[in-house]
Amino acid sequence: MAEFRLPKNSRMTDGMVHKAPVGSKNVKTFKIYRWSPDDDAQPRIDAFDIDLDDCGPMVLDALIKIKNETDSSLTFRRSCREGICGSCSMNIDGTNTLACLKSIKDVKGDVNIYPLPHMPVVKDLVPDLSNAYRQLTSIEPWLKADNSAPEGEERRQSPDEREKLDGLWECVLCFSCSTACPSYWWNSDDYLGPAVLLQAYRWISDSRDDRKRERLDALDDSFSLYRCHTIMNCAKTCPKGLNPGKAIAGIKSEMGQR
Amino acid sequence: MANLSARHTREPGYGHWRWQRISAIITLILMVYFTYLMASLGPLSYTEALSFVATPHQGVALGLLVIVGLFHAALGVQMIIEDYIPLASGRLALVVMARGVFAIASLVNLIAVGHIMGWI
Repeated sequence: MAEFRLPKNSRMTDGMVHKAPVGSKNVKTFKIYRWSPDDDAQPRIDAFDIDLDDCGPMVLDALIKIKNETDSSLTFRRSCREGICGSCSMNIDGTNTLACLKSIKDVKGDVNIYPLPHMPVVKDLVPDLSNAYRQLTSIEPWLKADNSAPEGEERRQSPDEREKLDGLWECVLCFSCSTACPSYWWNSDDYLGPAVLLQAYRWISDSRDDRKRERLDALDDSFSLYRCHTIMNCAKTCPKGLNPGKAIAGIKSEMGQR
Repeated sequence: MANLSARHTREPGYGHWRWQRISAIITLILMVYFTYLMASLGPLSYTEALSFVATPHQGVALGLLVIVGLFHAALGVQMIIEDYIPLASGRLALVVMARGVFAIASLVNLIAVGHIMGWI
């Protein structure tokens, strides 16, 4: 019978085990993906026992504690610690989310932490987001108006027009949704993915933007938009509670009304 | 707007998406119609079945079901090929081949229905 195995550099090995200090009573184990481009070693899973009585409540608190006290080589992105910057997105307990918004208490058993799936890894928990940012740039995510704003005034919107942006502007571009999307895994070179399409819809929906038609035309090809098969992993995993699938449906609806 | 990649040939996607849904609705309606009809008619002999298909409006409906159903299948197969087969692995050739197979199947089915109806 045929045996399927992952490529060698994708096969996980057991790594180091770091025990909690003697006397710790409230111990939880964090199993963390480790890989460095600086050696030829395969990826490994290091285990860190953390005393939760001496640690903040969120997974990011535990990661920072590990980096500060146990292994300074552990590499991950982080910045705001309150779900605004989108830096600390990673796969925790099988779900893409922000480490700063994921409570340790919500994870039953050991806390398994991996980088965002199906992205090239720079080091440890840091994925290479170059392609995602290139795709974001391609939709030109800025206001494009034919006329400049009235002198000394803002471009005005009615409450209804402004309301159309709710559920869109809150995206922090953590790419948890795109990296949870099987269609994006299969065709990430060409399918823009839920995060970028949500951003595209944010500008398509903006009453102040004058390039709606141009934006829609740019998305109307068989790969940029139409690889979405409404699997809806994006909405399920979004740490901000947004619904990129609904935004994609909105773009498709706008396509029909051009 | 920047074009991201030339790896895939890009053709408009809205038409494919719209026709997939339109054909799905028509196929569903016709399948419900024929399922209901078959259930209400009960078992038919071969001759009775031929007479049933030979009725003009049943024959046209059956021909429509075959054409629209196979058209829907062709669009779906194209979607599957585009999802799973990389361009370098002959994706374009596979899409053209699939379209050809479904076109031939449609033609054969139409000829069969037309023959039963006495039109061919």
